[in-house]
Amino acid sequence: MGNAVEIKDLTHYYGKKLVFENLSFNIREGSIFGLLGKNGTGKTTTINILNGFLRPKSGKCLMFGEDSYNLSPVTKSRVGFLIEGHIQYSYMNIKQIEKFYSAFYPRWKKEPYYELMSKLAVTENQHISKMSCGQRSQVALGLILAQDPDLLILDDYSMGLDAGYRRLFIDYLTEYAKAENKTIFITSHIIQDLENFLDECVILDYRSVLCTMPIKEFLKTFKQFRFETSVADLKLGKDNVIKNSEILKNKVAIYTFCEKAEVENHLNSKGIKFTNLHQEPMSLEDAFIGITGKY
Amino acid sequence: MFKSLVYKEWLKLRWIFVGLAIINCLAVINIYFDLANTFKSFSANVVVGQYQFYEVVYYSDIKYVVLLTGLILGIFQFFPEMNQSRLKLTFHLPVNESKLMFQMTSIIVILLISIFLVDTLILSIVSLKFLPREFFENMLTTTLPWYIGSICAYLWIVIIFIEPNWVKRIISVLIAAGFVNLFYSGVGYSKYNPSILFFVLVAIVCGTVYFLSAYNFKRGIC
Repeated sequence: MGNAVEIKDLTHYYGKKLVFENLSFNIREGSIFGLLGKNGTGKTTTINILNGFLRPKSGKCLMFGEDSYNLSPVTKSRVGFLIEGHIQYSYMNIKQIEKFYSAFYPRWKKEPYYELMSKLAVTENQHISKMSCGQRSQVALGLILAQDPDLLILDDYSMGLDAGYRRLFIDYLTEYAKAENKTIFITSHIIQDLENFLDECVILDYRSVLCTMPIKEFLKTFKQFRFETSVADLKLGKDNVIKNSEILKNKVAIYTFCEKAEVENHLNSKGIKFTNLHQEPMSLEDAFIGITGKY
Repeated sequence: MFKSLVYKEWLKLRWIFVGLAIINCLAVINIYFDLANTFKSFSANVVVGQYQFYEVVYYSDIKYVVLLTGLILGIFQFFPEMNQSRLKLTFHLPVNESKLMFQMTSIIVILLISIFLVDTLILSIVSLKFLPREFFENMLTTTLPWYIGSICAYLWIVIIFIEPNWVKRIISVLIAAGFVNLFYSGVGYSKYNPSILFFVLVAIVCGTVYFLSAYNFKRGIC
């Protein structure tokens, strides 16, 4: 299988402010790919570039082999797009919006849309503007599923959703992606929801990429070690071994891709006295905070 | 697909359109009653003589009604599109973006023309009922720039709304004010007869400039 998305050396600025530099990753067809990062690291910018809503300063961005800034109507019809905040035409009702979109997509299947709508406590004539955020998210998701796209781009699907709707959203997507072999490109602030959902991810930091790898590999290779130290005012910088660290009084946590022995040697070589060095298990959210930092 | 786009714009604008059509009709019906009262109070010879001498534009009430019609339709069409960047949804539809913009604006231009045709029809009936034929002919050539001006005003609203750069947006407001003012500056009958073709050209220029703003929007949306 080929790549649904290819991003190579993408660099973008807003005025003189660098958003990211040399961002590169590919999304394999049939995979579920997460774009993770804190606020302001360029997730929505990347999605805007990918959808052709923004011209990057430099670099390449291809969707199904086409330059994303000049996508043909055929390629656009293969891409389902969820805008941050589940934005839709709020002056339409459930029936009208389905009727409107159905004319544009040759593979339109209204059944998944109406199946989702039947689970909401709304009538067919209810306007989207009068729905809750959770209900609007289901309308947006239903429309994407009805479109039957090959690639789903979901920008911060979790925004404004409570735990129930977030779970419903992910459950539907998991079922759909597996059954239909769809490619999904997703961003979210709620990292814990994505732990068992993603195949691969790229983690963005301000202006740079922290890592790009399969999620299982990331969780297996990225580790947290804790230890106690007698060194007062210990300061640990970032280097090849230590990707991030947290120090609270005499308790230290370091985040690394290295094994325990390498960490021990590294601390010894720096002359840091430590006791009780041990590995702590991490969830995806712990690992995400570990690599990006709390601030 | 165009039918579906018409459906979307109709759902968005139907009440505004109906409201504006009613206001336009009421404005021209009001002109009828004004004229009827004038002809009841004074002899026809006196009224016609006065109108000819002073070039009284007895239908001037609709001048700014038609301008507001274009402005309001533009605002109500594009405010929901720009609010929360909904235009992204429209631009994501599997249709060329320029074609989409052209179709969206064409729908409104057709709606405006339909309102103006009704205005003209009622004004023609009113003019032919009370006044000599030359008044009717003057009415046609005097009101035509107002209608073209309204369409231009609508197109400038589109440009101002979709332009993502605030400096360019402010410049557009100033240019729009200048352009649109041209259409409404004439006093008296048929003052613009020699320049009607020029006005048509100005309207066509406005109709193409918005493609540049649409291009800017697509290049810099965020």
